[in-house]
Formats: sequence, structure tokens, C-alpha cells
Amino acid sequence: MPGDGCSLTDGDRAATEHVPELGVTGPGGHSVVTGTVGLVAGSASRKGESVARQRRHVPVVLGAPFFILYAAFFLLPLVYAIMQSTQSPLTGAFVGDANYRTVFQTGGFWQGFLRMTYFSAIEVTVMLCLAAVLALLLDSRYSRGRTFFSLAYFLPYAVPGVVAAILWGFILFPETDSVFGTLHVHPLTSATVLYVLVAIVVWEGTGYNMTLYLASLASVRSEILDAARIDGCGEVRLALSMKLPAMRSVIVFTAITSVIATLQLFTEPLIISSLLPLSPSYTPNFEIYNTGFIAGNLNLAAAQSLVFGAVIIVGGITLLLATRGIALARSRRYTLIRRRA
Amino acid sequence: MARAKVNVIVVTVLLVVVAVYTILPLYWLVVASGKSLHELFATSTFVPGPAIQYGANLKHTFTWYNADFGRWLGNSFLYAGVGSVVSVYFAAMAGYLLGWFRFRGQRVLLAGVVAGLAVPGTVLVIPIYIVETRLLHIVNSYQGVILPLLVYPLGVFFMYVYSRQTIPAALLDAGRVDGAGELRLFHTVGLRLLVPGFVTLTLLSFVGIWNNYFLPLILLSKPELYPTTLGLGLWVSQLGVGGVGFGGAPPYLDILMGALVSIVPLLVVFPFLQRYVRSGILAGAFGGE
Repeated sequence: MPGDGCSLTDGDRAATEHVPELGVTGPGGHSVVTGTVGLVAGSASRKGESVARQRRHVPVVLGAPFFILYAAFFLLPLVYAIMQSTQSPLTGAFVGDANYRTVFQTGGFWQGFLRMTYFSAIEVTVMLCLAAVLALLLDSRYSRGRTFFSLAYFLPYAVPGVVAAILWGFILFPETDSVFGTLHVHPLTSATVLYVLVAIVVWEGTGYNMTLYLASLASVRSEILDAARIDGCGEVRLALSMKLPAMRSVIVFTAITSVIATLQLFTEPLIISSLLPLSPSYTPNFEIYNTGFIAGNLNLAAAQSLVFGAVIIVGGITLLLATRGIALARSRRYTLIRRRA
Repeated sequence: MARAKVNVIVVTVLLVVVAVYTILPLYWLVVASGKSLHELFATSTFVPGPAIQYGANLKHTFTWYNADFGRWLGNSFLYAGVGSVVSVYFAAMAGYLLGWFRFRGQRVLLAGVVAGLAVPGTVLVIPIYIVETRLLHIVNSYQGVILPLLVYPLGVFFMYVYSRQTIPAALLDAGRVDGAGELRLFHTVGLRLLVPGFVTLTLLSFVGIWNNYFLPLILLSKPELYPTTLGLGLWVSQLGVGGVGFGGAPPYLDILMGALVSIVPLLVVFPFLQRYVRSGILAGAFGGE
């Protein structure tokens, strides 16, 4: 649509999607760099052809602390868990795939997995839509108090899952709350608990995702937006046809990482289960915990963990490939941070 | 212009509604932890009680039940402080090595780091426990909790990309011409330029470890080694049991006051964290699972 201020030309698009390398070095860093680069600029060594690359001396010792610990607390546990998963919990004798057959033939683990798949379909959709809408609202010219609101939305990210579950549990549980208690309303029951958990997890993560979206919106050049406005483009169309495309690849990545994180849900249902009994296989990690520590079968728990990991990795790669056409190439630029488990 | 004003009002109302959702539970926490147990259940939920008693509640939280709470806070600071700074330092060294040197096995190591990214965190919890209990015999110890936290593949991968972006080759070459050793070069030139990324990762990691629950729950069974999150979980798990707390009453107030105290350190680092996340400093480093 030539002449329509809302459509992007290829040139505009390239400019819109340009990601400035913000804050890569602090002001101090820059001054250090320019000060010395001037001295050796004549040698004009490109990054890839640094002297170090041709040198024989490599300070391998720099990698030693990480990789030794990596071997001891990543490789060794995986290998050892694979070995243990083929042994009997009672005798320690080799039993082949017996534990794996138990995983695949008993329902508990898969019940939890299905429940969390349903859960994450709802939770991730609600959370990311809310995050995207908030980012677009805050980024629009009609928003006031941006600093306050973006801080207010990000705030729950700093709250541990335990505390979030305690807060929501106490507020909504009739025995601990006077508002719902006096109204004789019971918002937290075994019928609603899944949706209460959705509300808790949405509460925890929306602001974080919104912050990432806002960061990606910073790459949309304000001159282009101004030009579109002058051409008569309204804020809503501006958001939908110019800003949303700029957020697309971040949205894809936050979607995949959020699904992966949600499938691993553990702490929040564990805390809620102190107020309201939940199935021991409520989530996959719940089931694994109960297998290993309540039933005391570590060998089966190891098999469950490995199956769970394999399913997540295969599922994650499938999701990634499915969205590759739209986003993979560009999304490499974007950030991906998860809470550490 | 009148229409613009209406739009501002509509947008602001929407923003306020969501802000109520995010802030109200925390506001309730602040209000409720200043009440007495009787007021907690008798007075209006979101209004402070007639007698505000933060001091007494705070004192009780720190002194009841073997006075464990202070120790848990200390443990949290130890795990999150040591775990975040040391893991990011190790990650910076390893990322810089992979980014700036080509050597036999470099690609294998890099592939190992990426594999480490791909494995979901909670999947490793049981395997780590099995190794610690059956091979290394370090469950229920400080080192048993801290050592696994020092493996931070995401940090290594970030530092691998970030060190290539941030450190100019010419600067390293200049140092070499001046005769600086590689280790010294890393610490005097490389690490200094990595500071913004280092701080960002450390903050993220600190918050992550402070909030961690599953791994310490599995690795620790002695309450004196618990971090705050586990301690609060322990108190919550006793709500149904009764017989503890104020004259046998369930420890609601201590849980709430403890929860409030436990998020204070996070609230202190949190504005910095948001600024870094928003600055897009992490953009560019991470490609995917």
C-alpha cells in the first residue's frame, strides 16, 4: 500500500529490525577501548585474526574451573543416572529397561505431563498476550507514568515462587482470609486450583516478559514511527503493523522458554498442597519427587527424570523447528533467560 | 485533543488495573505481617489492623522455632552470593577462552556448553542428588549445595558471545606486545570490559539462586542448612500439623513476616536488574535452547 504510512517498505523493515547494541560497553569501557585502539589501529587486526588465534600458548587453565565442575555436576550425574535407571531399587541388580517400562506403562507421570501441557497452553497464552499488550500500551504515546508501571509489573519477578504461592494461597484460601471468609466464597478449591496456579504463574512472569518486549521495541526507530503518524497512522495500527512485527521473534522465544519452564512447575503446587491436597502426580516434577523421596525409589525417579528431559528437549526442538521459518534466523539476537532450577 | 485525553484515560485505567493485580498481593503481605494473629483473621484483609506490631512480629519470627530464621537468611546470602559471583566468574573465564582462542577440543567444549543449555534445570536435580549421595557423599553440606550451582552453561555461552562483541582484538594484541601474560591479560583487560555483562548475569543468577527451591529441597534434610525459601516451605508444611507458633496456633504470622523479610534483598537489587534486562544487554548472546 504505497502512500499508506502504516505499511513498511523493505528499507523501513530493515531499519525497524535493526537491534542497536545497547549498553554492550559502559561509558568507561568505551573510553578504554578507543584510547588504546588508536595506538594499534595500524595493525588493523580483525577480531578473527587476532594474534591469540595464531599463538601456540592457550590459557586452558581459564576453562579449568568451569569444565571440571561441568564434568562433575553435569556429565557425571547424567551418566550415573542413566546407569542407575537400569538397576533395581531393591537389589541394585541390572534390570535393563524395566524402570523405563514402568515409566511408560504407569499413568501417574503422564497424567502430570498432560495436566501441565494443558496448564502451559493456558498460562503461556494469557501471560504473553498480557505482556505484549502491556508493552504496547506502555510504548504508546498515551501512556503516563511509564517508569512506575514497568517497575510495578516487573516487581513479582523478584518474589520467590514459595512466597508467591504463600501470598496467593493465603489470600484466596477461605480459612486464612477475612474477605472471602465473610463472603463465604471459596476461591481456592480442588476444582479451581489449576486456574489459581495459572494466576500465580502469570503474576510471576508477565512483567519479565513485558520488559523483554519493551527492550525489543526500543529497536523501532522513533523517526519511522513519527513518519507513520504524520501519514495519518493511528496508534492502534502503529502497534499492530509496525511494533508487533518487531516483537515477533522475541515473542516466539519467550513462548518456547515459558512452555519449557511451565512444564517443570514444582514449587508453587508443592506449597499450595499444604493448604489443599493435590494429586502426588500433579506435575511431572511432583511425581518425580514423590517417586524418589516419598516412595524412596531413586532408580525409577532417575528414569522418570531422564524421560522427562528427553521429552522436553525433543518437544523444544520441534517447537523451534516449527517456528523456524518465521523467527529462527532473527531470533538469535534475542535474549533467553530462565530462572535457574 | 479531547480524543487524545480520552485515550490517555483509557490507557491509564488499563495500566492501573494490571498494576493492582501485580501489587495487591505484595501490599497485602506488608499489611498482614504487621497484624496480630487475631487481627489477621478478624480485620479487613487490605486495611492495616488497629494495633500495628511489626517489631513484635519481626522479633518473634527471628526467635521462635530454634531461632532458625536468621540462620536461613544467612544461608541464602551464602548460597546466592557465592553461587552467583563465583559461577559468573568461572563462566567469564571459560567464555573468554572459548571466544578468543582456537585450540584442539575447543569445538567439543563449546558443544558441551550448548548441550548444558539444552537440558532443563530440574531434570538434573535427581541425577545430582544420586551422585552426591552415592558417589561423592556431600549431601547435607554447604559444598553439596554450592558446587552444582557453579555450573552455569548459560553464563558461559553468554560470555562467549559477549566477550567477542565487547573486547577489541587490538586491545588484547597491544597487551601481548607489551608482554602481558594471558591470565593477566584476561584479568586486567578482558574482565574489565566484561563488567556490565558480569553484573547483569550475577544479578540474574543471585535472584535465581535466592528463589531456588527444588534443588536445595532434594540436597538438604538438615533444617540448619536450609535457605530461606525452604525454611518458609517447612513452616507452611506445618500449618496442618498445629502445635507450633503462638501458643499452639499455626505460624501464619511468622510465615508472612518471613516472606516479607525474604524478598527485601531482592527488592534492593531489583531496580538494577530491570534496568539491565531492559537495556537489551542480554540481547545478542542467546540463540535458543
